[in-house]
Amino acid sequence: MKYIPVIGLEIHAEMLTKSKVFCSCANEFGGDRNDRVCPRCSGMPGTLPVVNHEAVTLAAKAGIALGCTVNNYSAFDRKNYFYPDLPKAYQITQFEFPICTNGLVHILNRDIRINRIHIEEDAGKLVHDDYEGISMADYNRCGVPLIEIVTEPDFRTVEEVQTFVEEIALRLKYAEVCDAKLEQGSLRVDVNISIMPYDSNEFGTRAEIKNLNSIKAIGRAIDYEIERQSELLDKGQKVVQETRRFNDNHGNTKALRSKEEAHDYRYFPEPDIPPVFISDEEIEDIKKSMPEMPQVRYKRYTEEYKLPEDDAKLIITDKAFSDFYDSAVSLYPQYKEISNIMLGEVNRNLNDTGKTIKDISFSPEDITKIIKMTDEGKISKNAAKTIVKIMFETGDSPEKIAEDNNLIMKDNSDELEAIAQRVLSENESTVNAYKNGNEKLFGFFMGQIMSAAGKGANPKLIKDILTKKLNNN
Amino acid sequence: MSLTELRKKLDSHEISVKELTKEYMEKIEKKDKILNSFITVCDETEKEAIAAQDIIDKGQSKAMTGIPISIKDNICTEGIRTTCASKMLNDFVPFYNATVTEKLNNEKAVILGKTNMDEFAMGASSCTSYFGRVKNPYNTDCVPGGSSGGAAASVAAGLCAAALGSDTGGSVRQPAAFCGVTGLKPTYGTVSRYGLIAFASSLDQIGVIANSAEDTGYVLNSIYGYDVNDRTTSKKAQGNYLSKIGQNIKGLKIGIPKEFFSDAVSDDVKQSVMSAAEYYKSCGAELVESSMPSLPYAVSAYYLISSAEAASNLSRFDGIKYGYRSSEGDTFNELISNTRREGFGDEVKRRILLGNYALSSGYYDAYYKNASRIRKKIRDEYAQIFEKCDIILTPTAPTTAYKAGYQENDPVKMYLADICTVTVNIAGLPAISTTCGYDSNNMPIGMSLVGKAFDEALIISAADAFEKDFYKKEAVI
Amino acid sequence: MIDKKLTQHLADLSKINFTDEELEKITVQMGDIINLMDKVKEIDSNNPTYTIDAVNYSDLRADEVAESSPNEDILKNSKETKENSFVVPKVV
Ligand SMILES: [Zn+2]
Repeated sequence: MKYIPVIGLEIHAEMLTKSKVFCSCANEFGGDRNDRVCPRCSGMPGTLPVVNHEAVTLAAKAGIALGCTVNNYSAFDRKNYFYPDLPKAYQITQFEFPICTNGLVHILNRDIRINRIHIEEDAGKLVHDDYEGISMADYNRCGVPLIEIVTEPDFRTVEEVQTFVEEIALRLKYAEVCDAKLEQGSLRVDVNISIMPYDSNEFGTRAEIKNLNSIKAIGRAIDYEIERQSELLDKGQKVVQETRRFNDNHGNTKALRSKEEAHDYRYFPEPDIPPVFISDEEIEDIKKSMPEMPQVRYKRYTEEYKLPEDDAKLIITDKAFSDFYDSAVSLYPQYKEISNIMLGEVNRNLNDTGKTIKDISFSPEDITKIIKMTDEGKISKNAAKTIVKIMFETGDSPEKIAEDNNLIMKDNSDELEAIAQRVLSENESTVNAYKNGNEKLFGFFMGQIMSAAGKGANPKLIKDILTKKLNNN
Repeated sequence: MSLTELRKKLDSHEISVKELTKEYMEKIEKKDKILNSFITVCDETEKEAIAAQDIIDKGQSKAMTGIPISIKDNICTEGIRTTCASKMLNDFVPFYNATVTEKLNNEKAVILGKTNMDEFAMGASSCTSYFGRVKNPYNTDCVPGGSSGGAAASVAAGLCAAALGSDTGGSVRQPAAFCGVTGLKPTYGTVSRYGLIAFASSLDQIGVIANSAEDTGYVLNSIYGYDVNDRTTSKKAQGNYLSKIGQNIKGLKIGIPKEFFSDAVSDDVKQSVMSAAEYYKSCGAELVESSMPSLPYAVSAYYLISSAEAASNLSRFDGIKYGYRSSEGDTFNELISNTRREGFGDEVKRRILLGNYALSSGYYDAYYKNASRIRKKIRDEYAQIFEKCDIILTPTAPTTAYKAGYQENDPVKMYLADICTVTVNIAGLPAISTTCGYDSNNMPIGMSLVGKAFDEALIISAADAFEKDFYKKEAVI
Repeated sequence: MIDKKLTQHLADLSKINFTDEELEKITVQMGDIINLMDKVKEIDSNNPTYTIDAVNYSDLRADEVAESSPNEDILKNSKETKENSFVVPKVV
């Protein structure tokens, strides 16, 4: 490939407020057409917008989650254009003074700069009737609060873009700003992409790609677009600055017929909404109300807890899962053991039952009890797995399950001591070899005793007895 | 009879609401055929009167209970059509009330009807109405001023006890001046704009037209106040607008900014306003020479800002959701462009084009932004003047009411005639216009008293002091 | 200077159709109006612009849901509706 792609993103996220951003209609999904609409969000004459406090809070949280500065002063502007899904014929957005600016997100050893995050209102939906040749406007979505996250053109590969989108989605979920479902449109990604020759520093003309509703689609669209633009440049042709739509069935992008001949949005300060002042203390309070972000947890897991990177990554995928893990390790700091049982047995049972961590009836403490019983030699590792499975089914305590199912290992020290004595007597030469320094032979003795003792024998107990005997003799 | 006196007579059962309402309805019936001050006359006034009387009989009356008023037709009234005097909203019936309508309904005022105006409040003559021009009760050949021309005419002709209007660049004060009545434009943020069909959101303010300064304050006491539905309203608006009535004028410092007495203002008007100044001086007030150097820029700045906001505010009128819809147009763009062509009058179209010019790319900095700089400057200049005085006295309009047809086709001439009023809106200040004389044709001359922000009580009291010693001529109709 | 082409552009932005004749007439009027407006260009651009006073974050509307309007109220002033929706000629 002789070109470098230069990619920037514009991401719209629907915020999880109860009411819409400028009126008190419910911010929900579904329902009959135009049944979550009032005079304000349907653009009736004389009505005025009133800013939702929570929308500003969530936008600030998004900014904090993405390393932005939350600005003390932010203001709203009108973006004017005519379209049937926009009843006022202007969208209220933030143009000159966005709520958040200058963020930084680290992914794959790269820093992606966030130019800004601003608050705006969503438009309605159009349902087309080809037979009648009409479009029907439904304003239920009008006024749903959005943030738009605008990155700098800092991406160079598909992988970077995909990782970034996943990272953003995860952080917005942690911050409870957005449920971040690409497929359902609560997170919408537009990709700006241009290519430039390897030896160049000058960005090419960019195309904007819309309608990307999965991580996979983002990858396919970018790949297609790089190829399309490369072919154009190879042929000595030019890339046109335009908006293109990705077609998931054909795997290609097509130029959209533009909404308006010339885009001149005639932005100006929204006179119906005074600018918002938010103090440093208020920003600090918002910050304090937020949970620890996934990237911070990842660092803690890998650096402090010494978990393998893959384990850490898996644990943070779901905030509730990570919270569960954190509660467990705070009670009994066996980081790796707890990680193992959660990513192993717990996850397997979650998958099998179709539950999420929020649905389960046992507590982080129950998990620590199982690990403790294993560590104390009361149960075997296999028994631990069995207990988890039964906890999923019955919700009983680990102790009860262990009792009821005869999973407690016998404390038969006398018997084991006799077996150990016999094994050592039968293998005198090997014992000598061990004592002369061949410590690997310890395992051999363990194996002999274990098989002689049969099922249910406590390895920890055997180990103790063996160590004592070998060292004393 | 003042509204305070009327209140007493209603509460003491000397007058019944039903009789009072009937009297006004008969006057409307008789006189408004000539004046055309109403677009819609309510047909349920008798029912409203009975309901109000019921409240009075129970001894639960509030300030406006049973008082017959008119409301400008750009203020939403649930179940009563609200047209903005435009073909565009000819049949628009809101299913919600403006906050002021709600407040008046709560006090059981009797709404007699919706008054005529310039289309979408854009004009100063009430000649651009889709429902025909309003006539001046002092001379039916003359305009009543505008845009609240219907409101002013309805008060001057005695068709209602008081009227609500709206003032974006003088639309309450100038028609009050032309019709010989009193018009109060409160400080921006005093009265909720919720339900006022927006012309220019940062300048619009609902005001009162009545027979006296005291009456305007009386009505304002019932409609002012911070509103959760309009976050541009202010908690600084504190009411008690009649509290300074009767206060001694002695020692009052009255600023006279010389730029308001330029050659653009007719001699009749200048003389009359200056003799009012002399009156105040004779009462012990101090006249303070002052200056507003940016006044020559005010009209241009005002038209750019108001038209820019209007262009955006009026974009929602596309025939899809409400109002007039063209029968022509196979595409969305064609349909709405035809609707707007057929639904809007010429002046509205000019303002929309001007507003989009001021906002469009390549022109924004030169026009909208510079206008905003002038706006800031004018505000600062007012603040400077108010460092040395308590109120400011200016003419309300450069001339008295002129003949209809005289300047409607010369937009520039019309715009320039707003010179005396627009700075008050630009600065968001309160001002009251009251009659201070008559020209040789017996047409009323208005003067304006401008106050500091939220100091309506003082200008009301100063206007009241003048009115009490002023001999008012009655309208011929 | 304002000419017919510019007026046509403004008419397009404004979504108002004009006949050719009307366009000529309004171009002349707009010329006069804009001459008057040009006065604002005399101001020194170092002067600050006007801004509305800010409101405090704590004073914003609490995030509470209120009942929406009945569908028939929303649609009752519209000339053309179908399936609880506003109708326009098909777009896209
Ligand atoms: Zn709503």
